[in-house]
Amino acid sequence: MTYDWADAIGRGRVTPDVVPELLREYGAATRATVERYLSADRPAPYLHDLLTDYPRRGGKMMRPCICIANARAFGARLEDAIQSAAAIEILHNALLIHDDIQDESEVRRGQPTLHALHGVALAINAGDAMLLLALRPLLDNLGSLGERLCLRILDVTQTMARETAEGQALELGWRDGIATDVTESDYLTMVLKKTAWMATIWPAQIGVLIGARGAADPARVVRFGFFLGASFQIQDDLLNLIADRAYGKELNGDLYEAKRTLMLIHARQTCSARERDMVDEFLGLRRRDRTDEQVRWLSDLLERQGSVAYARKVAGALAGAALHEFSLAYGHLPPSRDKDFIAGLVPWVFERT
Amino acid sequence: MSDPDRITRPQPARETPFRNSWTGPGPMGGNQPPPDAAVDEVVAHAVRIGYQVIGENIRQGRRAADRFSAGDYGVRDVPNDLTQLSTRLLQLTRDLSATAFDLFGAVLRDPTLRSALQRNDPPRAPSGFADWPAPGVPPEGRRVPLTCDFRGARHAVAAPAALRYADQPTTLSVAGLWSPNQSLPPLRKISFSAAADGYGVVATIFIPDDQPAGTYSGVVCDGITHLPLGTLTVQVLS
Repeated sequence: MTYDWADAIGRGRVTPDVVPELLREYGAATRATVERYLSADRPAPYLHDLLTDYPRRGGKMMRPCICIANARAFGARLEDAIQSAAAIEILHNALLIHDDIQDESEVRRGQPTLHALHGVALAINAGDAMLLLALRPLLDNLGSLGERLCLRILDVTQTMARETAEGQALELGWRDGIATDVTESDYLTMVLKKTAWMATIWPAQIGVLIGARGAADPARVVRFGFFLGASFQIQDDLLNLIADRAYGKELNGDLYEAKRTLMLIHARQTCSARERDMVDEFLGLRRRDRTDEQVRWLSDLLERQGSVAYARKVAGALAGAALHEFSLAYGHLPPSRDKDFIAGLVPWVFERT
Repeated sequence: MSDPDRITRPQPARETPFRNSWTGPGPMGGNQPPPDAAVDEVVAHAVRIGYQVIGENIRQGRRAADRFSAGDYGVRDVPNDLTQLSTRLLQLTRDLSATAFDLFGAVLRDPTLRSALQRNDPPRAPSGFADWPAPGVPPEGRRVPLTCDFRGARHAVAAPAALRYADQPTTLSVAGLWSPNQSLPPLRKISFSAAADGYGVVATIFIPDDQPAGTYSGVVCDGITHLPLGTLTVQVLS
């Protein structure tokens, strides 16, 4: 039975119930597996508590659930994908630790960041350890999935690692090099590499490989993953401007960090020459030198230039492209909860809190 | 004039039609927009840039794969912007364990290490997973996975396929892929190569711009014995 979209729209909510259901169901299974891999056999002072801190804070579990849902939609069992899902979640949390340090962020999932709690050195150490610990579940795939699938999963993992590193380098390079002429196309390239590849494309590719036992080309989900990931990132940037405690990040954190978001790029392109000079001056400051007053001015500028509304429209347009690509990549599959889940992620991107 | 016995349709609770951005074509709704429906300029711009970005990324990936497989990819091919950022990139690549993944792949290709790893006990399943799969049993048996790499501007998808192992080293051949509709031209530009990971075959299929949409299939044969090894089926999308 497929999801009744018309009924959902009548109820004023479009995300199908299967999305939160599977996020809970698959998320719980992934958390149990992650906990097992991160729990040390012996006490490890200054390390163990740091490894399990971010995973235990919750999180949406979107990435591992995308992997499991793709695997099941293509014919696998939950057990076939759970180790890869755990690797995805561990790697994601490891990168969050390093991202928070690089971005000088203070809040993660509603609590102080790991480096704020324990210092930069111990946080980097924990992140490094998690990056390597994420290999273990992928290594264990050898026993359950066989050599060929294990290597192909590593192959798409290598690609993701390089794309993500390039994306992170682009964003940091723009910030440290005080780049002001970043275009929308540059921004989407960065989002493809930094966000989409790890958040949506890679988990879907692993799921497709496991589900089809390697017989389906993982490249089939790249376009869908990109458009879903891009709309996710833009919505994430928008939420940052209206953040509250439930969102778990600091309000206007992206503005303090001078992140080159779509809103900032649009506002800078459309504002007056004098305002553009002020924006550029702001971008040239170090984070600690940016004042609350400057951030409020920039936030007002985004509203005044219609940049927030513009970004919302772009996010919606990319979501439409995601639905189009969904029908191409998954349209031939028989109806299932997992297929509905994958499609339902597109409206969920906008309806999550 | 009112008729108390007359059956009437109840007033709908809604005051406006159920209509929003999710009720368009595709999996969210069944209504196709009229062909001349106006598209907002911002929407069209965003989608156009999006396809340009992902298209360029895929093209670069294909070019890199072609050149890696031909063995002539060098440092000079690294884009300039990334060369300028090489120090930072190397550091980030280390952070991302890309090198570790490379090393990991090399380890897995070593037969001695691989068999040693396979002798390791698999992790215990979390509670509730009673039917955790047995380790060390390759699920596919002796079949060669066949994946497709499409060339040309058209979209196409391949049906999952695997080929029977040939009895001895050989080449692969396929005369063409035909549609059940005999009036449609077949796809003939098809070549085979080993997958980059060494565990399968890649069929590179060129789809002409004017190829009619539809399903095309053909028999892949052993190039020496001409015995059939499997069927290759693709769907050219409109």
